[in-house]
Amino acid sequence: MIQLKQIEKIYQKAKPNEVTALKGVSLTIHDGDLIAVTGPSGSGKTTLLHILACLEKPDAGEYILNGQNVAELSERKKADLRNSYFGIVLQDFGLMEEESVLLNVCLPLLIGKMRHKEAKKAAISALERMGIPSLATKKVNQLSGGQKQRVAIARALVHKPQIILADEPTGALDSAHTEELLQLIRKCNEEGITFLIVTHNPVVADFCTRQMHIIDGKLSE
Amino acid sequence: MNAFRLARLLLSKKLLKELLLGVQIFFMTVFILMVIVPFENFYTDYSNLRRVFGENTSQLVQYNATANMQQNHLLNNENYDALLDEIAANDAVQTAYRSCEVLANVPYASEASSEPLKIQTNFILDSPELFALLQSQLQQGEIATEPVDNALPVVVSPHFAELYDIGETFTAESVGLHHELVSQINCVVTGVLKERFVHVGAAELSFQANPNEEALYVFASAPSPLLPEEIGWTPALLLQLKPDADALKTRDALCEQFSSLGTFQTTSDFYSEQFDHMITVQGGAWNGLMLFLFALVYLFGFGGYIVINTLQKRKVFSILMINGMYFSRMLCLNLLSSLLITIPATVLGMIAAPYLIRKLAYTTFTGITPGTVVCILLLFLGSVLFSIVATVVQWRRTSIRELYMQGE
Repeated sequence: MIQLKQIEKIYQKAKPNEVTALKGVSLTIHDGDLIAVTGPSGSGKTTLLHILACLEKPDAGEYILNGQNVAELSERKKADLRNSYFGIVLQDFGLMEEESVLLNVCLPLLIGKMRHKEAKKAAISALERMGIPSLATKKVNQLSGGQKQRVAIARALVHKPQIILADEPTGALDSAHTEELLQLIRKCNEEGITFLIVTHNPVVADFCTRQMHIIDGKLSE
Repeated sequence: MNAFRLARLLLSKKLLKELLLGVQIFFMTVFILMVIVPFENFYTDYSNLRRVFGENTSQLVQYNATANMQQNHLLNNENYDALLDEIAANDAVQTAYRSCEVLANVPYASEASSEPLKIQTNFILDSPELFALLQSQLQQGEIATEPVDNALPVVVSPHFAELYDIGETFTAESVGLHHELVSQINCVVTGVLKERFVHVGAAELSFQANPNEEALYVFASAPSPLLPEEIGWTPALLLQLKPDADALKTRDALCEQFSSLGTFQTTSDFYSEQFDHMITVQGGAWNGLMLFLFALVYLFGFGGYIVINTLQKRKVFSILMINGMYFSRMLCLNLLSSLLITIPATVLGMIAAPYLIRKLAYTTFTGITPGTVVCILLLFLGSVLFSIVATVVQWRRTSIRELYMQGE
C-alpha cells in the first residue's frame, strides 16, 4: 500500500521562476487499484508519477510505501524498488534508440542480475504479451511511435512488478491498439498488479476503477 | 557477463572513434616504455646499491684513478697497495673494497672458421665481499675463490656461458689502451648468472644487466696482489665510512691527500653526475619532456573520452538509473566501458613495444620492468581517478529526472 501525505514539490525554489508543481497532495493507493490521474498539461501529473517512482524527492510531506517512509530509504534501496517493485512507462518511452528492442526490454532484468538467457526468455514473453515478438531484433530507432510505446510497456511488465506507473501509455497508440492495451492492463490488474496511469485520454480514464484529477498541483478524487 | 553487456551500452556506437582511442593508447604505451628506460636504469642502479648498503649508502666514497695515471701506468701494484694502506689508515674509513675492470679478449671456436675467433669481454675483479654479493644472482653453479689447477674461478653472464659453460676453462687476454696484449689469465667457469643480474661494485657502483645488450661479463674475486704490472686495468675503490664519519669532509680530505692519484666522490656526487649524464648525454631531458607530454595526452585522451562520453551518454545513464541502476554500479560500468578499450590497447602496446622499439632503434628495450608497469598503472590510475571525479561531479549536479530531460 502506498500513502502520500501532504506532498509538496517546488521547482526553482526561491528563484523568480519558482513553480509549485504539487500542493499538499494526499493519496492512498491500495494493492490491486487501477487508478487514472487526469489533468491539463503542467498540472503536476508527471511530477506525481516521478515522486511515486522515487525519481524525485518531495520538498514536504510524507511518502509511505508498505509502512516504510521512503525519505529514510537509501538511494540504493530506491534503485532496487525501481528495479523490482515498480514498472515505469515514461511519457517519451525512455528507450535506448540505438539498441535492439530485446535488449531494451531485458534491461531491468539485466540490471537485476538475472542470467542473460533467462532475461531474454522473459523479454520475449513480454513482447509476445504486447503482440510484438517479431520486433525483438529490430533497433528502437526503426520503430513507429506506437511500436515504441508497446516496447516501453513490455519493459515495464517484464520483471512482474507490483505497481506499474505509466505516463500517457496510450499517447502514441491508435484506438485499436489502445483497446488491446486496456485489455492487457485489465488482465494484469486481475493478476494483482496495481496501476497508476497518468492520461489525457478519457477512454483510458473511464476504463480505470478510480479516477483522480489534478489541477494546479492539487489532487482530487 | 551482464556487466559487460551493460558497459557496452556506454560506449559510443562509432567504432572508428573507439578504434582511434585504442590506437592512441597503444602508441602511448609503446612510447612510455621507450622513454622511461634511462630513468628506470638510473633508479634501479641506485636502489640496488641501497639494497646492499641500506642506510650506509650515504657513507660510501668511490675512488677512481685519473685517466693520466692509467695512460702512464703510474698506478702500478706498488702505488695501489700504498694507496690502500694510506686510505685504510684514515680514521673515517671502515672498509675499503677493491675493484678493477678490464676489457679482455676471449678466444672461442667457431664452425665458420678453422682458427679460433676472439670476442671482447668485460672482466671485473672485485673484493671478496663484493664478489660474494653475486651469490644471490646465480642461476647455476657456485661462487668459488680458491684457484683450481692455477685457473682463476669466475662466474659469467648467460651469454658468455654460451661460449664457456660451467667447468670449462679459457684464457682471457687483457688488452691495453692501444689494444695491445698486456696479460693473460687462465679462468675456470664455476657459475652462471641470471639473465638480468645485478652487480654492485666499485667502478659503476651498481648496474643491472640488460639481456638484450648481449654484453659478455666475467666476474672473479680479486686476487692479491691485484694488478700485474703494466697492464691496462682500471682500478677503483669503494670506501665504506664509519657511521659517524662526515662523508663530505672525508671526501675533501682524501681528494687533497691523493690529488695526484685520482678522484674521490661520495655516492650523491656519483649519482648526481650520473643523473646529469643521463639528462644531457642520454637525452634524458628530452625523454622526461616526452614522458610528461605523453602522460598529459594519455590522461586527457582517456579522461577526455570518459567525460565527453559521459556527457553524450547522459540519456543512457538516466534510462539505466530509472530501471534500477544505482550510482556506484553505474560508476563501475562507466569505468568498465573505458577498460574495454584501454586494457586491450595497453596489453597490445606492451606486447608490441619490444619489436617497435627495436625497429625504431631509438633505445634498447629492457623488457617490461616493475618501473614501466608502475608508470603505466599510475597513468591509468590517474585517468580512472579523473573519470571518477568527472562522473561524480556530473552526477551530483543533476537529479535523475533532470538527467533524463536533458539527455540526447
